[in-house]
Amino acid sequence: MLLLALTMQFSFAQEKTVTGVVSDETGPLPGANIVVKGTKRGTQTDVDGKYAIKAKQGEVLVISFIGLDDMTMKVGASAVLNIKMKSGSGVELGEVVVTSQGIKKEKKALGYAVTTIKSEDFASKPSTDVARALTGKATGVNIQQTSGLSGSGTNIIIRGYSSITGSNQPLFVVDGVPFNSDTNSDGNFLEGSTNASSRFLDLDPNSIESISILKGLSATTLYGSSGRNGVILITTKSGNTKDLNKKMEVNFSQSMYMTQIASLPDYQNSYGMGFDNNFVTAFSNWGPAFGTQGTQGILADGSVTHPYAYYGSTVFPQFFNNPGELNETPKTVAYKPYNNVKPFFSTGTVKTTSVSIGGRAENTAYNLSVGHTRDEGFIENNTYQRLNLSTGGRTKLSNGFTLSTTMNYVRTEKTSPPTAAGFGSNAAAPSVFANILYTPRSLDLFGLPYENPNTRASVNYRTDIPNPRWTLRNSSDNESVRRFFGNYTATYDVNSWSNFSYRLALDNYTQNKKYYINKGNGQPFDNDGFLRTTVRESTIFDHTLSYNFDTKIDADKNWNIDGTLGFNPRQENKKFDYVASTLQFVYGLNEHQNFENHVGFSQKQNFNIVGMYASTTIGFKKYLYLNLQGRNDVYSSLQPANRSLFYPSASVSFVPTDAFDYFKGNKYVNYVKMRVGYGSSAGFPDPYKTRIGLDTNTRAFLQSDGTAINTISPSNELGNLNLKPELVKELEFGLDGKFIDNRIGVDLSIYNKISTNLIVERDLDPSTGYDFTTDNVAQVSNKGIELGVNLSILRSKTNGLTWDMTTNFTKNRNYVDALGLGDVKQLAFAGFTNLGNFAIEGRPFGVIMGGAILRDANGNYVVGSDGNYVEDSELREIGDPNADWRSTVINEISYKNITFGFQLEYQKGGDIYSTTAAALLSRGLTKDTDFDRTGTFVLPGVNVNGNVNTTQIGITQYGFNNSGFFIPEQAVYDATNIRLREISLSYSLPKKYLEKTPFGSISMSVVGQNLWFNAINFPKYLNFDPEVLSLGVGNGQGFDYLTGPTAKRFGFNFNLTF
Amino acid sequence: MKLYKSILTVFLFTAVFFASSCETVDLDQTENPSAVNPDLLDPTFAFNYVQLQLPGFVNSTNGFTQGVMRQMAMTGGSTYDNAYAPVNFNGHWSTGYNLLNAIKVMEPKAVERNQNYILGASKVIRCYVLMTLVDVYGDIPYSESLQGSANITPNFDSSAAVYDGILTELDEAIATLQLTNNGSVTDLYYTSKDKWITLANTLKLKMYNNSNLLTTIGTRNVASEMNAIIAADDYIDTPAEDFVFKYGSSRQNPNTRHPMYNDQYELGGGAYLGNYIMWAMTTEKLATTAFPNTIDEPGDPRVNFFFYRQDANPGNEDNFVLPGRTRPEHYNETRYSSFYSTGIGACYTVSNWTGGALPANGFWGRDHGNNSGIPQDNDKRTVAGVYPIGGAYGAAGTVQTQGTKGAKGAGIMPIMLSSWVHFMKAEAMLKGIISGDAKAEMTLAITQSIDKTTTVIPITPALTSAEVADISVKKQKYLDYISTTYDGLNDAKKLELLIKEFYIATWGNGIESYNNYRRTGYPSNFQPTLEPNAGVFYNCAFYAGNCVNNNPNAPTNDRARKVFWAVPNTKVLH
Repeated sequence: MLLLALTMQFSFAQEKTVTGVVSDETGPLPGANIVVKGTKRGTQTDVDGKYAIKAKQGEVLVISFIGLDDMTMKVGASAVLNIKMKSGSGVELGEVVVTSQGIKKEKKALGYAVTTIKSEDFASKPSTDVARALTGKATGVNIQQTSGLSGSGTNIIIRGYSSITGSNQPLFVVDGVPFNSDTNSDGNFLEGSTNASSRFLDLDPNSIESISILKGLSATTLYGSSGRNGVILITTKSGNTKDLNKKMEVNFSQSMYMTQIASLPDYQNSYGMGFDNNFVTAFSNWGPAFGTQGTQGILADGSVTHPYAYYGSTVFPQFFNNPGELNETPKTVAYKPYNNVKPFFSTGTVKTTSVSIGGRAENTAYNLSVGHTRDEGFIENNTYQRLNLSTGGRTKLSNGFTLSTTMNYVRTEKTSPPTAAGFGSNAAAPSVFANILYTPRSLDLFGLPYENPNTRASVNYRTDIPNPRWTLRNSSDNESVRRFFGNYTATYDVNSWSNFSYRLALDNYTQNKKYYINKGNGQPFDNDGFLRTTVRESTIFDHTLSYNFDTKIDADKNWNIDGTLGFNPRQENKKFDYVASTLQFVYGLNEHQNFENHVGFSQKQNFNIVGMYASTTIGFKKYLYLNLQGRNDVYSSLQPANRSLFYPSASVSFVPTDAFDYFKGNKYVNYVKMRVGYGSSAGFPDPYKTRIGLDTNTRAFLQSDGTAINTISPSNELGNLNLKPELVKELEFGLDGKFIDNRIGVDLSIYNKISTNLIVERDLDPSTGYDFTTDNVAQVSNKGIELGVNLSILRSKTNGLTWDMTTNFTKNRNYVDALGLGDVKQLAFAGFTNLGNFAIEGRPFGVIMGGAILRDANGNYVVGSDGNYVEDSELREIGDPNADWRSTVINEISYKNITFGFQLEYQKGGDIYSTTAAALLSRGLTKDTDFDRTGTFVLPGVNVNGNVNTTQIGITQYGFNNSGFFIPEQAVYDATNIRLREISLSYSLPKKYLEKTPFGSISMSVVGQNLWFNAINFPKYLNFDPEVLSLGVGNGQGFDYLTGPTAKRFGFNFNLTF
Repeated sequence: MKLYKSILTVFLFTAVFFASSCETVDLDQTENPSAVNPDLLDPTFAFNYVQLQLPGFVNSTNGFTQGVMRQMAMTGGSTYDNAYAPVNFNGHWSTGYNLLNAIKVMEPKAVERNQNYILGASKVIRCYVLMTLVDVYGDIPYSESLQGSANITPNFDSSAAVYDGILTELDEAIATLQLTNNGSVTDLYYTSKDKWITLANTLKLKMYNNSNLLTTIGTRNVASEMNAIIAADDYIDTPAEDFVFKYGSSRQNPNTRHPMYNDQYELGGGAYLGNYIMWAMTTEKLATTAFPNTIDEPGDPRVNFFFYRQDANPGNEDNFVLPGRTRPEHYNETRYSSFYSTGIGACYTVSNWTGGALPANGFWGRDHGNNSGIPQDNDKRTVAGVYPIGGAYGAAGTVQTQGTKGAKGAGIMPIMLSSWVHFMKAEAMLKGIISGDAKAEMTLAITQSIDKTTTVIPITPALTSAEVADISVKKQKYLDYISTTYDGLNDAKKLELLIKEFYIATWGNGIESYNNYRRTGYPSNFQPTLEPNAGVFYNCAFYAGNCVNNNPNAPTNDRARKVFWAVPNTKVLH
């Protein structure tokens, strides 16, 4: 009756257009919802926070904005109604995060973990790789560089490995666009796959506004199968024009950093080249002590024959007395230690300049930015350059449409020396690191030529090892990328609480790679010169048509429902062209026409995934939320019966501090959220695995008359018509809390993720006719705990001194539950099949299997008749590369305008097989081997008859045979390490000094990364940094094959806005 | 007006959306656009594949058999426990079965098109591969093999049953070859179908001879079958019928050279030769006035064709380059000394074979089971010569010159030679299985071996007429020496002499001598491993890692397990 009366009354009031600006403390609020209470009339504020709505005097406007409490305003006589909103009653509850499909949500409504990282944490840092800059910053996210070279690849694993042979890399989404982040390597790890950069390197950290990491499956369901390994959601400045509030702002930043090799071993200076205490031209340093004269191969004056004498006086007359004469004799050189490794490395500079301009016009906002980076590594010929151009805009039309777009162009150029895997005795392909670190102490590497003056071929103290200085100048692995990505979005507001949106996203890049070595390295491989060029084109077209809504569903406004329905077809297209040439004609020119022989091939692939998804969140009184999601994907490269997979997720979030009055104003418990989520996702196989085409080989052979023979044969891969998508499921619990006047923040997640029907490339007994196939077999699980604790240690209001400390702790148990291969209990999936990462039922994922010392029944080491250990003929588990846990402590101490920060990281456990260690120790190079080398040694163990071993071996035998060269087990170390990831000091000019200037802010900082580390369980003088990944980006871990050490970086940056 | 505009806008958007997304919603893309459709397997080109895979398979067999037969050095480990691991056989196992699968997959189309030449020849190759797999491994998947996804864990058939099946298949192959053929053929081995029939008969003869310790294979009587084949007289008995693959000299695009030439004549030295075979050919035969035989001037005319010495005078090398280990005590046991004279002790390192002093001749290989590190001897170690790999002749400095030396790799892969067939016949005669003069048969075998070795691959520069005449003289002295020695021996020793000569004549192919050794126990004086306790000899190879790891029906790997035809032989092999 009353309602009727009110309606009656209002119906007499005159309708008018009310306009105004909605703002909060920080300025106008674009996108705020305004509804006339009790009607269907509603609108949204534009980019300036302005709105216009038809209303009558006395009607009530309800204004809502995400993260703020709803407000009601009565329409008065005035046609102008400016509304100032206040932050919510719960303290600091309004944190808004970007979730899947770009939907912004209040954090408290989420039933899953989302980590948001601010631009300060990755912009203007020494690392030009946005992913590496995030290392250690988020729990549950393991980011690992493959090496310290500029432009090298980066491996990102979120919540462990879920797939054995498929990709475990997360999906990158940039401004709503699925962004190809592949690491494209032309060679395998033996040739040096650490050199391939990961395509997220194309992103300019300075142009990124914020990053959200969606870790759990309940968070990523809407992204479909590509999101099953987690999603890294990036909002660029160009894509974030919504938040632009000021008229026009220019942001300029310049940084300048230095790169150096993180560490070199401490070399001994007591013994030189030789073996068994005699001087011989060995790779090893088991020669006589320096100062020896007239014995053990050393001449009476303490010198030895010139190391290049064997080239003869026609090549190097300068190394001979009386060259060309009958009395010609080679010169001698002093037998002494040289500084012959350090000069190989240099200090590179990293310069980054970026400018961005943003602003708005009437109903249009825009952003332009330009970034340029030149990143030089710690070694010659290692440079990475990147140019980023981006632009974004958004305009709101009067007819209900909002159009927005972002466009990005990226150009990168990278050069790098070759980094083939090495074992400490030359590599099987060109490599600089494989040959430099174990240079004999007594070789004057930098005092000697590295090339033959006549042929420009490599010269070295032995012919069977190329001079690393020659390799550095004659071989290169280059990469250049041209990339365009962007999106076009049109949104049509159906009413005040729902809209239709269509987005076309495009990501297209062309990556050119060029790898060459000039002729003359003197090795069985590539001595004729080699040139390989490849071109990869990758195109992703992604269409999303969605209907989005957000409304209250009851009169009391206790219940809110929002959600989205979407249709999302995506096309991924790849093309690959390859040309390799051999037999270089003229030295130094690396173009295909300068080579005699060429081989080439090309391939293309295409697949489509058509997804339909729905998501809804039902909220009750802003303290209880239920989120339901589901997605169905259809994949084009499976047989019809197995193409489609539906996978749901659900989560509940409950905020007791809002639900119960008891907590209102409680000083100790300020905020608590409990959440539980279940999520699932699909994984699809690589295309074309159900039916395999034939192998063809043209010019397989020549008949005696020169006629080419071509062949066709069945592939050794067996197609699997029954191949299905794999399913990943995850259950997650979480607790967020703020306690003791918000001084302690806790963010806890516990999850259990199980992937079943895993798509595995499995070997077959070749007697089936085929060597391998793709099948749904295994099961892998990840159980983990992620804990982030934030402490406000100091929060002085009076003198501005604050100290915040964040501690992240991650522990993940990654196990292979089942292989599903019948009696086959182990599967090699990375590295070598006799020294690599294996999936073994009931064992941690990727345990290292390899050769081990033979043990007798009592577990004693068995020593052979020659006094050395016997290697077990069976492969044994010799290491577990998975870290027990990881922890990061980030400190930020501010006083007035000065901020000092440092980030410490600790990794507990995780084994690594290291040929760097094996080479340096086996070759007697580091101070660890600077012991008295005159005696003999008896290895502890028993002989083959079970008696205690008494066979004496020389010190050379002891050192050379027992440091990992012969038995891989002896090259496995615990990689526990502690490091100072980052230390920084920044200063921003106080606002009062800037008031009379055109500048909005000026800041500068000094930053160092990776300045100190200690791998505590490695031999002391190796100074080895185990944070390398010689198997490259992928599923392999725990291997160092001398493919490149880590870097340290330090320098400053400068930021300016006006 | 405004309404129309809105409708138009929506319409245009929708149109663009569907236009651009229709290629995005095509959901049937299971065929790889970059590979040939599986239905297009043309037997002509599949036969090319099969023909080219066969020498690869033989080479892969050699990798193991020549190592255990001391023709190449066994360097993978110091004992039989660790010299080879199952993983070392992955390539062999998969090359063999991939080849068999290609034949199986192309067969229906070849039958349909009456390509009987291709089909028949492929079947003969299939039989050769299968019998080699049996000889190397014993029991193998046969009746349940090559089923693809229909059976990914095939059971193993007994080696005797597979042999029996192969004999049936060889008859089928002959029948197929006798049918009318349609379509052209690129035959890389022979010029007619008839030669393939000759080969098929020869392979039957080889299998029966392999089984000559047995009375029957299945229901087939070994002796009567052998006699029937000899009587029919259609088997390889002249070099013109030899079954060999002829390599080319193209270094690149494609590389058509002998694989061992690729290994040893580029850079890096390549695999080591076994010291035993070099010793057997240069030192083992006791020199007489009628048979001058010194390490500098060996009596066997094949030595300079088989082996090429890069460094004929390695006396100045330091002990870092030459292993400095002293001669193992057990090398002095007389059972390892010369077959012809116990005064000639077993060989050791590159020395003058007895004393451990440095050599003056440069036959520089490796002892059995020497797995020590590699010194700087790339351009010093002895490599294979002109026969059969198309290498260089004699001794004249380094060949680490990227494929510029000798016949540039245009050698042959001997798979079945007439000389070997005569050795087989000689053995059967000596054992009374077939009738005939064993000694004459052996002499013919050696003659054919020497003639083939010294003439089949042209030497550049060509030998002078004086050198050719010298070879001829040496050949006769050699034959006379064998003849005289043979006459002075009892039957068992006669057989050993025969097998030793067969051993030398198989240079370039390890399977025949490996079979002979397991059947007869000869040569009995093989150089032992450097380690005194080598463990059980390889009575069979390890099943490949990719077999045992993926097929639960694979038998346990056991080196003591014997192939069925070797079971009666009770000699302890080493």
